[in-house]
Amino acid sequence: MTLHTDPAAAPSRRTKPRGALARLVADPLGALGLTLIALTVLGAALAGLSPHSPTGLSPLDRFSGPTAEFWLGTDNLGRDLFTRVLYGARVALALSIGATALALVFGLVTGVAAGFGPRWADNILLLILDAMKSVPTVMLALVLVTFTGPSLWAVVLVVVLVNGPAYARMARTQTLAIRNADYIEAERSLGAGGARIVFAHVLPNILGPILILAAMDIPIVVGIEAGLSFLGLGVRPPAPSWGTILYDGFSYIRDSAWMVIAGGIPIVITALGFTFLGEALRDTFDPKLAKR
Amino acid sequence: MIRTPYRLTRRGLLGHGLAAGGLAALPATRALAQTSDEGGRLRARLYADIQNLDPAFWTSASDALVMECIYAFAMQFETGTDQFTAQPVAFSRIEQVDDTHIEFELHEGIMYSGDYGEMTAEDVKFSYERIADPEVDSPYAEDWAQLDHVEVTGKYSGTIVLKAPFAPLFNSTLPATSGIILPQAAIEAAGGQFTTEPPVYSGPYRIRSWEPRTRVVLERNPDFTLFEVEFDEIELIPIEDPKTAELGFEAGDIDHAQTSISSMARYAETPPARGSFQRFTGLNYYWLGMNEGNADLADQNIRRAIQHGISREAVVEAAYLGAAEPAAGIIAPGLTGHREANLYDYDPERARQLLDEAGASGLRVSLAIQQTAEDLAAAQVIQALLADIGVMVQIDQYESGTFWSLGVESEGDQWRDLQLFLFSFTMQPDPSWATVWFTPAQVGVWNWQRFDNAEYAELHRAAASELDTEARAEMYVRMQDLMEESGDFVFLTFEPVGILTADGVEDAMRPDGTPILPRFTRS
Repeated sequence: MTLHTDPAAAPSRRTKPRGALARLVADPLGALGLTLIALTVLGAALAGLSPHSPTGLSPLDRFSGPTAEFWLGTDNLGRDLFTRVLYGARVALALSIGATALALVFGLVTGVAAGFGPRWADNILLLILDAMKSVPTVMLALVLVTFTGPSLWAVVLVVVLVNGPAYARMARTQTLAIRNADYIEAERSLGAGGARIVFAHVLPNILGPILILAAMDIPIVVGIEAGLSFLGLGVRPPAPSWGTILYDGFSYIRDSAWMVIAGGIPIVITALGFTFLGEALRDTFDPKLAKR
Repeated sequence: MIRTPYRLTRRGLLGHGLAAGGLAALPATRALAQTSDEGGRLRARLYADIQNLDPAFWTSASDALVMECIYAFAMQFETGTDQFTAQPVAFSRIEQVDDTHIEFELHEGIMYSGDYGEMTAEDVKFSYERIADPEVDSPYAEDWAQLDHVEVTGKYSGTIVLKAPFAPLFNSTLPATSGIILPQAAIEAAGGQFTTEPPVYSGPYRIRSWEPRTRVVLERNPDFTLFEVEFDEIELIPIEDPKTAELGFEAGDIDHAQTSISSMARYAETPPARGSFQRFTGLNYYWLGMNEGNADLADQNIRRAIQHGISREAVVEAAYLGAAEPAAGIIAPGLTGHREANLYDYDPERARQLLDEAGASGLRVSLAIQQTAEDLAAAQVIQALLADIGVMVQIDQYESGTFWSLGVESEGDQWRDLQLFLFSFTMQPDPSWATVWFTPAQVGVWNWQRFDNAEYAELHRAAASELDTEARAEMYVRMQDLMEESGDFVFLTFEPVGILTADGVEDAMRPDGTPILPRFTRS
């Protein structure tokens, strides 16, 4: 049993096929992705066990290389980099998953409304979505930060505004394909209302591909958070974020390279993890694309 | 043999990407450094792009650096010495006849570019009276605060007549940008003022090209004869980040650059491979300001509590990595009015007590900083220290353009929200240049603390006319006491200056580490 990528052809609600997780794990790329993500999640979960504070200053210990006490060395203010990386994982995961979820909700609501609603609403929403999509990410972030000041919420808003329109576009396209399908017409003739059609037929059929798209966007969100924090537009100091660790590392790279290494490695691991997982998910759920 | 066509798959792309990443991680071959002396061109760092080259309206040290190249200064500081001693340049003679009369005589044959002819005493009169003129509204009018008029006594000679004795005249007026002499006709032709396109040149160089945010190229002015210049061209490259400038220097892309303060210890220990490193005692002062015009900081006890809650030693050590010492004021060592000690100590217990008296438990404040490594490190230490006394600090980083407008009233109402801020001001070698920015007249302009003290204002006015050095020093020390007593200031340090100069170049530096580029030679 497979998930139909052509929603119009889907005769009824579909769920993910049995054995999907097993197939995902059996795929080397999927297994590697899951492992890397598990590493990140585990680090975030166990951050509290570190004997060091992520924000406690100890200037006498600054620029230490890796030691038994400081596994990844220390930064310019003597803070333990390993601890900051672990706490930074909490920020990265919470933000990337939370902001992506919000963007997903935004995209689904807007896309389904555009696809299922009247023509004029579709045109207006399309215009708005295209306008949103046309604004460069950094410029959008700068404008938002000018009004709201740098914060985690500003980053969330940037992600919703940057990724939301893409999900909305996809949801709209899929909804348009479904709304005119024969089985939907049959439902209508049996007296089904719009809400029932949306919740019983449209959403279940369009959710799968959008979730895959969202999974593949998570590394992009991690990058956006790190990038904005690097530019001083994201997480406020002293909160540990991979982007701020990288920024500090850039400033003092001639004194110690460990800050850049400590900030860079988790970004690479997380980005690869979610990218691999997204690829494997696509291969698992979309046999037409598999192995291409 | 059957050849299958190569097809790039998504998996293949990922695999290739990983392989490429692995290769990139291998040690790379270092690019060869360029040579520095080709074509008689000196390449130096500007810490920011030029913005205004009008002596009455310039805005940054980068502007001043370029003006020193393109205009003939009345006087100029000697280089290669640790004392600030100014020597006449455009003036062939300058003599203080009495406390309020200074006679001068210009060199004959100083030619302006274009059709503006020869520099005369009429130009001196126009230039100095222009800056002092309230209608011109120059931010540097204080440099000529006591100017009554300039009396022209001959084509090349005249007398500067003051309303009262004026101590800064030979320290920070004549040897600096306010001593520049320009022809009236050129300024009028430019509409009364100009920005980045000077209507006239009279210095050793003139601007050949300016690519905004990329480079300013100066070429030798063939009409300049006041002193010999060695380089045919000077290329000035705006590099805001000092660490980037350091990399540029080490790659051989620039011949002269100021380093970041946090790199000074490293360069002192290990000088660069293709040049030398020098450390200068800078005049620029760095402090934490508090806006007493903000509702949360209006109570003086709260500001005094913040003063007591900050260990200046800890902040300076963290920000400057041991390259700077804590300061007790805004007037650098070696200048009249330097202050040796503060009126208070780091005392968290006293800070908590003051906060209790003010009923300010759970106080939350914001700290505005620029996006520099030093500011960020200092801010985080301040944040930790103030958390210890129960004050929660939110650090707000701003890019330089936004930051420099935060406390300026003419830019809007944002000054009302400004609370704490880290600030650094450039300085000329006269104490009045430090104190002038904190007078009541500067509230909402450069006085972002909104420190408003009548005694301070009167002392500032009187000290400028006091020629007795000891009496003058006492006045400036008292003014710094008043600043500190207000609770508006936590004096942090005087920023040392680190300079990198390429082999083959002999620099010419003022005692405070400011380069005078036209005096650079080959070694």
